[in-house]
Formats: sequence, C-alpha cells, structure tokens
Amino acid sequence: MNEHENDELATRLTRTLTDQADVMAGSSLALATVQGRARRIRRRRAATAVVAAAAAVAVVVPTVALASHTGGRPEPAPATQTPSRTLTTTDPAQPKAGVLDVSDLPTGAPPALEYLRSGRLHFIDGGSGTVNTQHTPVAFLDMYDGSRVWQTSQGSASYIEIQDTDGTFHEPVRTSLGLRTNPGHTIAAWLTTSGQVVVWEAGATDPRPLGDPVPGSELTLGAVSGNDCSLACTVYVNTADAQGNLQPWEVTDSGSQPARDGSYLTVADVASNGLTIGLDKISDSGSCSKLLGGGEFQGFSTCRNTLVSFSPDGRLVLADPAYHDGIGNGEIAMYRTDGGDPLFQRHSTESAQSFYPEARWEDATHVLAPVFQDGQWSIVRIASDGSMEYAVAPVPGADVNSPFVLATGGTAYGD
Amino acid sequence: MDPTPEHQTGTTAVADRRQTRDADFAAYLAARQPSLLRTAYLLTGNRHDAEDLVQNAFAKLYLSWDKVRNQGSIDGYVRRILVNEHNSLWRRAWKKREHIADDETLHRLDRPQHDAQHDGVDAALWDVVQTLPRKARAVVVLRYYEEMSEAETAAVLGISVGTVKSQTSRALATLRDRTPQTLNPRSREEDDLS
Repeated sequence: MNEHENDELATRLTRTLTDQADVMAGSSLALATVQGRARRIRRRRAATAVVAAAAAVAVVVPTVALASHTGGRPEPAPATQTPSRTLTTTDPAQPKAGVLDVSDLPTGAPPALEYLRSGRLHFIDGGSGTVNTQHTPVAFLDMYDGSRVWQTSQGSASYIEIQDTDGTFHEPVRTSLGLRTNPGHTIAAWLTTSGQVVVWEAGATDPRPLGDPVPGSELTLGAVSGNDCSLACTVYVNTADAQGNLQPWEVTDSGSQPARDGSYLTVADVASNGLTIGLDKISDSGSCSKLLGGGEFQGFSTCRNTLVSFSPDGRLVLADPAYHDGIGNGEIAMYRTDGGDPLFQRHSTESAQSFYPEARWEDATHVLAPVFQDGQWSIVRIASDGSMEYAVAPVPGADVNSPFVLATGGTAYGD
Repeated sequence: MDPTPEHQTGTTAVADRRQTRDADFAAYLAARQPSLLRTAYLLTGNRHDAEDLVQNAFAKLYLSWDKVRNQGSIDGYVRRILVNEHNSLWRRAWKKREHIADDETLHRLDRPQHDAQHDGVDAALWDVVQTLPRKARAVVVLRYYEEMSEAETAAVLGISVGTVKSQTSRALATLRDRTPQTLNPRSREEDDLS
C-alpha cells in the first residue's frame, strides 16, 4: 500500500468522521446538569472508600446476613469473618505476595487445557495441529465427547462451526458474540443476532433454538445449567433495557423469562449443584458480587472482586477486579465457595504492570491465564494458594493482541 | 446567634470564590462541549451514549477543576478522561452494543461497487469504523478527526507511539478491506485490467 493510497483513505476518513459528527450539532449540557453528575460521582467515591476500608477488615459478607438487612439502608458490612488466609508463599522463586508479577517465574508443566496459539491448536499431550474452520477461529470449547465448537469470524460477522469427533465440520451458522457451556460440557450455547438462544448437545445432529428470543439490548450469555436440554437445561442471558437497567433472563424449552431468583443484576456462572454467582450491585466506580446462600450453606458477597466462575468441582470461585477498567484485568483472586473465605489475591503494581484478558480453570485448584507484562505474553498457572508458574513461557507480543486463547469453559466437571 | 462580621466576610469570600470558579468552568463548558460531543459521538456511535460520556467527563473535570486549571492542561485532561471512560472495560462490559454488525449493516457492506456513490461509500466507511474495537476506533478518531499526531494520540490514550502506529495500520487495513471497492486500490487495478 503506497503513501498516496493511504492519504486517499485518510482524507476520506476525515471527511466521513467530520460529516458524521454533525449529528451532535445542537446538543448541549447545562452547568447544573454537570454539577449534579459531579455530586453523584463524589458521593459514590466516598461510598467506595468506605466499602474499600471495610473490605480491608472483612472481605466477605455472608449473604444470609445481607438477606436479613432489608429496607434499602446502606449495609453496615458486618465483619463476621476475617481474611484469615490471604496465603503467601515463602518460595524465593515466587513474586511478592499479593503482586501479579509474572516477569520471572519457574516453568511448570504445559497446560492441561487445549489452547490456541496464533491460530494453531495445542493439545494436552503437547502436540499441535492446524485448525480447519472455514473462518478465523476466535474461541472454542471442548465438549465432553471430544467434539469441539468453534466461534469464528469473517469480517465483522461471527459464526459457530461445530467439529464432530471424527474431525468433520458442520456448515457454519451465524451468531452474535459469546459461547458458553455447562459444567459437564455436554451443552454448547450461543446467541443469534436477534437474541435467540441456540444450543447444541454433544452427539446431536444439529443445533436447535431454545426458548423465545430474549428482548433488550447488549445481550451477553451468562451461564448454562443442566446436563441434557431434552430433559431440562437453562441458559442465562444478561440484558440491559433502554435505560441501562440490567436484568438476567433464563431461557428454557418452556420459554424465556426474567430470572428473579436471587435478584442478580447479571449471572456469571452456575455450578453443577445449582449454586449461582453474579453481580449484585454496580456503580460507576465498582461492583459487588454474591453467591446466594441457602439452608445450611452460607453464601457470601464481596465488593472487593467480581466473582467470575466456579472451579470444576464447584468448591472454589475465581474472581477478577470489582471495577473492570483499563486494558484488561489487573487483579486475580480465589474464594472458597462455602462461606467465601478468600484464598489469595494478586494484583498488578506500578512496577509489575501485568494484565490478563481471561482465566480458565485447569483443574479443581488451578487456573490458567494468558498474562501480558513487559512486552511479553505467557500462560501462567495460578494455584489456589496463590503460587504461580509458567505453563507456557513468555513470548514477545503487542499488548492488544494475546496470541493465546484458552478453551472456553475450562476443564469439564468430572474430568 | 447572628454571625459576626468576620464570619460574614469569610462566608462571602468563599461564596465569591465558588461563584468565580463556577463561572470559569461554565465558560469552559460552553466553549468546549460542542467539540467534545462530536468526538464522543464518533467514539460511541450513539447520541445518548455520547451525551452521557461527555457529561461524565465534564463532571470529573468539575471535581478536579482547580488542580487541572492551575496546571494549564484542561483540554488534554478532559479529552483523556473522555477517551479512557469510553475505553474502560467496565463500560464496555455493561454499556456496549456488540461490535458485530447487524444484518442490515452487513448487507450494506456486501453491496457491489456500482451501488457506492460517494455518500454510500462514506456511510459504509462509518459503518466499518463502528465495528472497530474500541481502542482502535479511539485511535482512528483521534488521528483522523481530531487530527492529532501519533505522539499526541499516544499521550491521550496512555499507550506507546508504537502501539498507535500498529493500531492505525491495522485499522486502515480493516477499513480498506471491508469498505466498497472504490477504496481498495487492488480491486480497482483488477477492474482496470478487465
């Protein structure tokens, strides 16, 4: 491409952008409106500071206690548990406790989870192979029977491509973004651009629609529960209405309806025993997540992190920052499912400017995450005691493009 | 108890300072908001989100007004707030529309060249700009609408000049590939030969 051709496109781009920006002619903000917004931001900052201070004393708040405080008043954040085990390691090869510094780690075993590296699929046995999808692969999940479901893209369009156990592919079908599976990896679910949930069950001939199209905008898939959609399965879809109000929907063979249980704003994951994690409160400066308790089981809530996913056996919960900001996640944490005891937290610092786009469960006590730091990407294995090692050694790369994509849904329950 | 004259003097002085401060801020708001609203629209592709984004940016500027004004870097500060707010993964997670073109957009992008007069090409170009990832779109808007240098763009986005260069290059390649053939010199050459 020569300079003249670039200049021509640049000129056209400038003209197009200038013309489009004219849409905003006539819009104006009044001083009082801006001052009102500023007051709300100031109040939120003050509230967040209080929450952060409380979190330093008691990271977790039992949801049973939350449930007993109704009436809309600010919660006093009862300190019934202390962060007794923000575990540290004395191994000199490990970075300082609490810090997500992956610049110099010991190297461990290769990932026990398939991953894509620059478009090539790497298997658990250490081998690798080419990917024969019709379009460019962007995500994939391994089903329990050995088949795979690929999310691919061509231009601005997204597709699902199903690969049977013998390696043959079904015809690509159009999709929106997002691919989810249940804990047992027997069901793959995705959304069409019109909000219709589509499921494919390992061994089925074709994918099929589930329930009715979900209304609202900004639809994202939350979680899939159940093992067999011909008996009962539920797909959770997170939505926002025109006013930005968040509401998860549950989609089943019987139809689609708002998910009211637990008053979640979004559903992040559902464990094989039905326990659910999701967002409970959101502000411009943070969020709170909860795992609802019930009976003898003590749930918990935290405003320190966003609860992301259950471990394959459902005993632990992976968490990332409460405030998702910047280029990626600069904090990772784990909690015990029962009671919310925090196991460890690690975060990036000024001297260790690391971040990761996603983390997946490798087994019941380890997660894998592609992490960027100092111009390099690596896949880091993080144990439930907070210790870290390379599963794939660092390779140079740009911060915006991770060369690694880990299998969606991580390891299946029961593996 | 009635306030003493000293109290009255102190209160009046504080009120005066606040009034002056608000008047300064209001003048800045009036002068700069049309430009920022336009930039915000190009970043969000949506009038409502653009107003929300600018309102947030000005509100945060208002809270830091004294400090920022004294540093003499108001324009850069508010623009950085605007772009970073837009790029924040938080907003991306909860306020984005999926950057996947709807069927109508795809249909328009798939139209053959003979449908594409200038307006059509510009509309298609705008459609593709809106499908760019947020950071890439921010780079495009700052470079080709705000006409910032690579260094200025890097400073606003808090990234390296090298990243600005690579994102610009990738964004232009995407735009060239996905817009009608009048912008794709390779296609034109093929047409000329046929």
